[in-house]
Amino acid sequence: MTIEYRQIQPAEHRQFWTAIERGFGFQYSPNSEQYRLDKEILPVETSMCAFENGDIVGTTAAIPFDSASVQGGTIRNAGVTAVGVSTTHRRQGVLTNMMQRLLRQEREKGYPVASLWASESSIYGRFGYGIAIQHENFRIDTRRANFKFAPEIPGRIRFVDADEARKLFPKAWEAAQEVRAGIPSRDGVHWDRWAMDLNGGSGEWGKPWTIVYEEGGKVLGSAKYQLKELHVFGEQTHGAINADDVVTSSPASHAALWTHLLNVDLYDTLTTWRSPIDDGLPWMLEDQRQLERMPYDANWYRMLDIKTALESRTYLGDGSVVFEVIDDFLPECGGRFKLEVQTGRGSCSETTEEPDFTLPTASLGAIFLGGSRLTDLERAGRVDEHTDGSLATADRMFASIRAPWCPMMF
Amino acid sequence: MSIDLKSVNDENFVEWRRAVRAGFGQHVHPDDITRLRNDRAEIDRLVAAVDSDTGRIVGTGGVDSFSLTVPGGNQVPMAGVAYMTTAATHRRQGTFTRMMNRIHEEACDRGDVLAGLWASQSHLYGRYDYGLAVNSFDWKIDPHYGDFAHSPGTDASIYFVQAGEAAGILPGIYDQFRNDTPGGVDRTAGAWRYLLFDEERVRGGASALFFAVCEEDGEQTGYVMYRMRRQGDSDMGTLQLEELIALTDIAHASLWRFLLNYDLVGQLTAENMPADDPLWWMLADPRRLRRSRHDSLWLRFIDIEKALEARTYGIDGQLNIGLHSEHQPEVNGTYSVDVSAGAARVKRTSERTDVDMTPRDLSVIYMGSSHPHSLVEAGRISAVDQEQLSKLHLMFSTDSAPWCPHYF
Repeated sequence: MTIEYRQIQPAEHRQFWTAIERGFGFQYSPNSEQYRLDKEILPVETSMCAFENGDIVGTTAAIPFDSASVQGGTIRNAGVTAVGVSTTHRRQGVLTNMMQRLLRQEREKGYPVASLWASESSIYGRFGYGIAIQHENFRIDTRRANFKFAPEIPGRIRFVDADEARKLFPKAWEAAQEVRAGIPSRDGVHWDRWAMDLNGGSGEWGKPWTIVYEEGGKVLGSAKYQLKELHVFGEQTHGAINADDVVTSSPASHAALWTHLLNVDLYDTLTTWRSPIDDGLPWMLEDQRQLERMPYDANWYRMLDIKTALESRTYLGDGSVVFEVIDDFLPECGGRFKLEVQTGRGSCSETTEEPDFTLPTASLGAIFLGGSRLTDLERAGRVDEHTDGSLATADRMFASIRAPWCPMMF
Repeated sequence: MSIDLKSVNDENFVEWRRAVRAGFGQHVHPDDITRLRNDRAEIDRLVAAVDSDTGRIVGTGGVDSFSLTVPGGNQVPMAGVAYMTTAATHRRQGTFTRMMNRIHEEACDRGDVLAGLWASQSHLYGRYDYGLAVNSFDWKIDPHYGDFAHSPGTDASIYFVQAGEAAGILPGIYDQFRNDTPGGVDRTAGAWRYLLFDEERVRGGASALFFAVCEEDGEQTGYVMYRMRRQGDSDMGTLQLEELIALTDIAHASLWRFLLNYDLVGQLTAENMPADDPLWWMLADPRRLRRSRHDSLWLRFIDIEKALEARTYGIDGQLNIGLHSEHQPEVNGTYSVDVSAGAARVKRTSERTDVDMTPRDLSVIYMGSSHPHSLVEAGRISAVDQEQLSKLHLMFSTDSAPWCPHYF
């Protein structure tokens, strides 16, 4: 049986979603408005699927967005999503074939990097993705979460309804993009789709609450959280609070939002996910061991056009390094490059000079946003240093003052 | 009634040791009192708080002397604070603070540059200007998910050794390691005897220690010590890693390959693993390594100028750091840190500050474990502008994360 690889056609859109539904095991029953938005978020030309006899047996797609680059600027980013192979078509190379075609398709469109959230961490390394953004999940009993330190909070928090949240959350988001690398831009369609989830609860969790932090007439932070009653007979009333959407852009907005979340009456078991790995919260607590911190791999990056990608960010340290990038999966994306940084601006070109170090493209993806270090990767056998000290030099060039962050799941 | 601070001597040592363990809710075996006295305790560095009415010890504290490796590889004398308790009968009378002050004064007189400790609770020591200087992780992994996608090579030889042989081999490897590792502290012969003591009562229900040594080209380059734990009639036990020290990347990878290949192990647990351990980057399925962050070594400056001059820095430059302490107002002031070729000259200055913080915040960033931005976000460090904050970040950043493998 031959498998054909191509984009879906408009008439195949419903079948595409059915295949995704099967791949991830979720129930996809959108109303017409949600379906309209989902089709806009993943239009046919973003897809790359596997077909057998007209049936979709594998899906991939890439949401196009700009994401914040290090210390200002943006980079065009192909947000890989909806990756699945039908259980009936395992071990036939379907994923490899789709991924190769998808990445080439996105590269031709001009995306210098692709990125994704991995459903399992064993899958994407072989396709040249490296872990670029690490996050931490938090868990704390808020009754034990006293602040010992906090910056001054000149602004204030207020509740907003769904309509106002739809208008104001994007402003907090844009403020955060100024501060941390990795945050994707979201257009009106994305925000409309996000706002749809504000109207009702999910499972045992109640309707989301939305708050914003405003200071000097500007929205500098936002948070969405849901509450769940925990009925424990004979015990004091208490419940769970889950904050999965806390966006801050300054010490004050950060402190104000967390103060709110740690002081919701009757709901004291707080869980969060998607905090940046250098979040200030642990350092505000009187007893920081009360905060459970569970790190995990969040965003994986895959280099598609190294020159453009490296020139899209700025650098803290000046210097010059030559490196050879091995890309077995997409050989046209590898090569030997020279990166020269002067007064923070990088210029990158292909070169024939002798390399200072050699690395697989996944390792370059891992350090691209300053979220990890070549000297650590070297100890794992993921980069070979030929010129002593060149990895430390490159680490100083790539370092970022703040850890990268991707508060949006895609 | 008054509470008097007294020294500890051979007459009150047994009472003092019992009071220490009682403070942690434990009884102590008589042999273990002798063991501490012979192998570990420096009796002239211990303190007892005594109730003048009853003559009983109601508070305990003390110091183990260490030499700590700081970023760049220099070693400085560190007072390793331990044994800190106040009896439940004598709370809220300032005893703990008086003992801490005495310990810090003595450390100063002896020429210690830093004081360090492992905190039983994380809210206790900030008030004495201790900052969490070294982060570590606790790990759990099912070895069935222990395949490597990357490795620097795993072909070092590994062989088992018995406890007696291990006692001769391990210290040499450890010494080399801790000399090269910021956060590492020395272990005396007594400390080794204390650590390797392995009678049933100290095993916590697990097996006796197993030891394996790693060798490359005739050189011993690493070791592991671990225990096995079996529950009920399950085939699958738990391998409880006690210590893994590797001098080379190949030794590290080989020892982990060895541990993760173990038969009949359903779970491997490890505490106090380095924050930048490369295993996570080697695994084919890194999320299977369940990591939870934990605080390890807390540091407090005894001599700020010496401590700042002891370490090396990521970039050259000059920065005026304003320090503000309620606990030790004598250190308040502005310190000019002038780095040239990585080495700092530190002196007090009357110039304006570029960044402001407390000594405990400076302890947090001193070893390069945490970055200043986290403390800025927490409202603890302020900078006149972004440029000074960047400079602070780059000056204090290090090429590797600190790690303290020795618990005291």
